[in-house]
Amino acid sequence: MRLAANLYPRGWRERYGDEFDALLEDYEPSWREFRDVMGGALKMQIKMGTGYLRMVAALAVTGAIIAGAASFLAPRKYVSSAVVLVAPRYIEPSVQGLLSRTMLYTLVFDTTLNLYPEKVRLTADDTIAKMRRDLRVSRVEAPAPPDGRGPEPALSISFAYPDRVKARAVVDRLASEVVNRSISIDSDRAMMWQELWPHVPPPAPGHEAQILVPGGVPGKFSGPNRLAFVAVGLGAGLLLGVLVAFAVAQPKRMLWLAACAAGGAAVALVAAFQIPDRYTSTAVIRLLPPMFPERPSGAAFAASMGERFQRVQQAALSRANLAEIIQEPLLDLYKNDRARKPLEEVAEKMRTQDLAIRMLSPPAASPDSSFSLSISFSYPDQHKAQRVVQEIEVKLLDRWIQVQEAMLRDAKPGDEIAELSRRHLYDNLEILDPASYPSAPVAPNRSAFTTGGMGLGLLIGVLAPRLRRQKLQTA
Amino acid sequence: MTDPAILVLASLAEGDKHGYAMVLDIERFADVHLGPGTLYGAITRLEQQGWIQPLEAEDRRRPYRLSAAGRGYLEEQVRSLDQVVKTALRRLKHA
Repeated sequence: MRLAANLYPRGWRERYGDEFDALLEDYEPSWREFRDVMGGALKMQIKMGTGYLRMVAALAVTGAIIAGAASFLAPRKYVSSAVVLVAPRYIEPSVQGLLSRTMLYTLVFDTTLNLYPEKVRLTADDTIAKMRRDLRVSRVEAPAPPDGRGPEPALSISFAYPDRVKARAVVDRLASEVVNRSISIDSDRAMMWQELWPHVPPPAPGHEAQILVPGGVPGKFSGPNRLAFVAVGLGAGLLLGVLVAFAVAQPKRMLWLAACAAGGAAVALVAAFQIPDRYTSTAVIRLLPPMFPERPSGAAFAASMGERFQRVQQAALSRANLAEIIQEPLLDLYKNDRARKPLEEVAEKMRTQDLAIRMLSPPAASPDSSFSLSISFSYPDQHKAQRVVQEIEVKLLDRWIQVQEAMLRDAKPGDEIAELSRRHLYDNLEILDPASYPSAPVAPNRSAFTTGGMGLGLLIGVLAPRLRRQKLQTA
Repeated sequence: MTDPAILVLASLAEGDKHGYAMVLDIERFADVHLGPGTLYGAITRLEQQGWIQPLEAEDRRRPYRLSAAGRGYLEEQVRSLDQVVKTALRRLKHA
């Protein structure tokens, strides 16, 4: 109790300190009396001007100290990094490939690596999302070689994980994947060239893929960001200090505001539970670069792959095609909407509100650049959401094949590009990630609803008494 | 009636007392236990209002005396409370 008595403001202690300490000697020490002295000290700090500021500052500093200490308990992560030199045309596909769900799924569920033990209680997609946050794959400039050529583009792969050996194993595995895939494509390319043009010498293969900097066992751990922890603790302490000060200075008003905020949150939460859950299925498809970009391209191929594909996409997602999907007996989508609106309107709603096609890497003007895009569809039924994405993938692939076949029909005999297309070597649409099965709903976001409701409740709590006062004054 | 300030004034109406003597007196006549923080919160407020006066400390324990203004305030509060009590009793009889 004596310790708590020291928390009273200095000015107050100068006047009452002696007699207060004498009084404490008469009391039987107990938690009840300790709490009473602490409460008295807090109130006195707030009532005596600068004491209020000191209390807020003390709480902020305490928050920062607690958060700083907590940052030492947060799991440490070791970062292993590698740099892979790879032909520029393979960089973008490599980035997309390494970050694809298929690739990460293979690593997460590899029993020799045994990553993320928490995956037993998470969904596969959540574990993959977690790994995606720990993995960085980006284009970097490799140091210039000694032969005088300028710096070459390369691929940087880094992975952060609590186990340093596993961090390195993942980086090594991914770096090898890039090199092996690149070597395999180059070797197929050389073999096909020989078969197609036995008398034409093949173009120089360019630099071979190689691991410039292998993934090492990291000695130093990275993060957690202690500064960020301390800043959050400081902010939380400040906020708490202001709230406590407000609660002590104006307890009735605080109670009213708390009731308004709680009421708003409760109403919003009830409203959120009235909205049906929505699930989103996502797939990623990729258009691979042509295997022989060096060969002449005919007039039919003047447009870049990106432009051609955008046209295909528009056709595949036409209202007629979407209407077909909507009416498919197994899907039977938007039943209620269809009862009230024409099918065309429902298809338009599907395209503009529930279906999202997003370019993950923008199509470049160059005909040999690759790009990928994600297709997402949100619907209250998770099976149907997945099925729709699968249907759209099929429609895109079908349409793409039709376009290729039409170009082959128009090609002159002996056209090399036509020959390459016939052998599926010119360019190729590939499903990088198949349509996911959404296990958890993406909407409604109940925590956002609750926070919004709480904010609205607070606003009403602040404005309502003012409006009432104004009304009384004017009356 | 558990307002610590009124309880302290009521205790001092009997005569000068130091802190712990007030606590024991209040426990006896009102059956309310005042913690040290609550008691000195009330004493600080009452002294600032001029309703009680500090006397010379005896062995670190300082007695307090009810001032004339404090007596007036207490009488006013008691009268108001008395009216509330009488009205409530009358209504309860007729209910």
